[in-house]
Amino acid sequence: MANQQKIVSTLKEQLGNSSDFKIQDIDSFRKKIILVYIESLIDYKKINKDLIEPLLFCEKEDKYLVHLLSLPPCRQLKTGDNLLSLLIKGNLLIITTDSIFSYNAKKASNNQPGDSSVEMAVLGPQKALSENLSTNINLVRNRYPSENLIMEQQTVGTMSQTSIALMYDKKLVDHDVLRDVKKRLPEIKMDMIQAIGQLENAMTKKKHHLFPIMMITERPDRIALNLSQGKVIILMHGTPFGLIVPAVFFDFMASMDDTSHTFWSSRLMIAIRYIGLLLTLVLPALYIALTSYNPEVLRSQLAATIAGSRAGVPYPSFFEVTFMMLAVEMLVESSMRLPKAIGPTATTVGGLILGQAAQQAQLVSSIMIIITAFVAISNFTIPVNPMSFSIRVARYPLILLASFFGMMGVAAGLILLICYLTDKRSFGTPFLRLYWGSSRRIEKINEKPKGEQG
Amino acid sequence: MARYFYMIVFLNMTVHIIFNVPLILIQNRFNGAVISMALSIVIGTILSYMFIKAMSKYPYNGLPEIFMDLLPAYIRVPFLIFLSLMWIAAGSLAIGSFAYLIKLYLNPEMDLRIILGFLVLVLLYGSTRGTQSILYKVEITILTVSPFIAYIIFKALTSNYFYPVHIKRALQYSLEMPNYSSVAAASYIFTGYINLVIMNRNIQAKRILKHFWLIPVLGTLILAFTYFIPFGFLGIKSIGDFVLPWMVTVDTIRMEYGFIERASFLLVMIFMQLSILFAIINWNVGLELMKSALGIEDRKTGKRLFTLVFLGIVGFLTVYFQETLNQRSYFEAVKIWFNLRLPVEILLVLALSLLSLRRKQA
Repeated sequence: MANQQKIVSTLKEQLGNSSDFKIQDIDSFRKKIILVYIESLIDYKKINKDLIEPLLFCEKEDKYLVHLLSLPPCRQLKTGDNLLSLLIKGNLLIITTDSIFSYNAKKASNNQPGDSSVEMAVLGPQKALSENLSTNINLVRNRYPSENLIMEQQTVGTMSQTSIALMYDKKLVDHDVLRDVKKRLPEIKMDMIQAIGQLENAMTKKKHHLFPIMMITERPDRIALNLSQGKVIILMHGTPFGLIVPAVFFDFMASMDDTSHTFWSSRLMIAIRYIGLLLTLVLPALYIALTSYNPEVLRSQLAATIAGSRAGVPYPSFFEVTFMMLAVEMLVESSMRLPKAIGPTATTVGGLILGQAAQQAQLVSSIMIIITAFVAISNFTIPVNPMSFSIRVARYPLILLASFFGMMGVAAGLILLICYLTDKRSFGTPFLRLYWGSSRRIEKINEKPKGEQG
Repeated sequence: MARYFYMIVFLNMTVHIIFNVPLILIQNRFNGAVISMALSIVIGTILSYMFIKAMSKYPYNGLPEIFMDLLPAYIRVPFLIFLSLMWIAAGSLAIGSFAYLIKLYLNPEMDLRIILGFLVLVLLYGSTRGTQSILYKVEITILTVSPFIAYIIFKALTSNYFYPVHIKRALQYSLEMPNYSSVAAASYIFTGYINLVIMNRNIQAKRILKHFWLIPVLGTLILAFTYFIPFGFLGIKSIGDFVLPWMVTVDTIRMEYGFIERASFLLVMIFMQLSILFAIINWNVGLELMKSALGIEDRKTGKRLFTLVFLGIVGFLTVYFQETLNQRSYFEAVKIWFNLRLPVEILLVLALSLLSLRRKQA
């Protein structure tokens, strides 16, 4: 009895000032049962049904204890357990005279999968992940009903204690990657981890990196597909996104829609994406190189047209490109976070009026306006968002090289970019390398000689 | 993966235009260039077969590892350093010749030192990547570039200014005594296999032998194309007036409907990709040889510093060397390198073959 009181008072001391900290005494079986919980985390209905009602029906304490232990989320605590952290994680503590039980009655929040909004698919599945970890695990398990699917739960973040789930197919998974992931996760020293991107950055060893080596996705179907390819999935509580490890360059250029179109139409879409990638990378740089350094490369009529449209522009093409790229980047950046009501205004003012006026005032050439629009549009063809951001950044070194060295600079810049990409490794998997041959079976990465001896 | 090997061989075969192998052959067009070419095809095929065969006995071992067990240090270290310098020189000479081309065609107003310095910086980054990464890059580059090469050859063969009769006339001088420098230059076309000294760490040589027929076939085709096509355009006599016969040849080709009208700019861009890639490979191989000759493999921190200092010196020497020579003497230097290369290559291949024979008996 004294013990019971002591535990409660200790907890009270530690949490006492919180007004949602509740202690409830129930007298039954001629003994005292104390329920301790944090009100805001607890689902009342669940407690009522699972704990309170049976208490009234049970005539003996033994029977009630058997009932308690038969409940799946309930367990008897050992002496070493940290009561406080259990409380904070949404457990209810049942303190009887002899022992303590914890009962997980966490109120599930945000557990409805929403429509996919970041990676849309026209014909593919429409629902994305939810913000609740167990819902997400459920979604993945439903899509990947294999007995080999393993789920391991961990927490990251010293303060946030965010729970994450590691999922993989134990037969297909690449064990080197898995070992690497498991090694890196405990090494993360960060207080608050609330977004999957944070986790991604914390797990990447190099601080200054441009291209993502893990893929963030919100689509359960992509997760299931990648599980079958032997990849490791990390799901995090509180974000509707999962992390796929490892990811290579071509993964970022694949959309989940590719599988649902007919052969030729999906080939066309893929081709358009790669053309878009190339255009958005090199077009501004090419403009500089071809107007300021090597107009003779182009056929004479075309060179004359470009020169004619640039006739009134009072500064070198480098400034022109810089201004217009700045404008378009600002437009993209601002329209991303603007409330939906103001969004169209920004695009109209920015895109239409600014573009039109700048050209009429002869501050930029009309061809530059076309290029700007082209670059922006073709950047949107890249299906996975982080990659399209990286490509946006990769454009600027090329512009710089073009303005110093002309065509030679552009070509050298592309060479350097490919060198950088091929030298990149995503958890040991080469980031950019061509694969040959295909099969109807889904490829497993661990079948391939992945390592350095290819 | 054997395909990387063939791509490197192909790369070497195409890059010889930058090295002006056609010029050396064309200078000897009345003095047995054709026989020299035929001879070099035989020599190149035999050498590469012997070498690949020998390397296949040491799977996943580079030359330094093979020598480590077989040769005493006082032979091994100087020999590896010498080989390393040969490779580095190949890369430097290629990039130097290419800088001339850039100056001539793309950036005539830019200082040659700046052009070369920039290219050397690109090489510094590219060649310090891992060998495996460079192999991936080789594949990507070759695949993107080869359609354009095929297009240019197609355009050349169907051009109105292409007169096959000149090729026939060139063939009339076939039966002449070959001379050494044209054999040395022509056999250069096969020399891509030699990169296996380091690449054998990544490529299984046994697999290469399965498709070995590709090497003589490809070599013969490319050598024939690069030697004979310029004759068809420029005529047997006046072809001797040009320093870069291929650039002039391709400059006669017009693409009527393209954004780019002159095919020569296409060729410059192709050359840019290929010659930088070639120099990256050569510097990488040279660097790896040097590192293992001096035994810097293990110390992780020192490795990077050494790499940068070594390649920095090499890069500086490349720019300095080119600045002190004019174009004519530069190509003379290339010729000296060619003449030196053939005996060194034969020596290396023979040494390795003998060593590998000993391994069989043991």
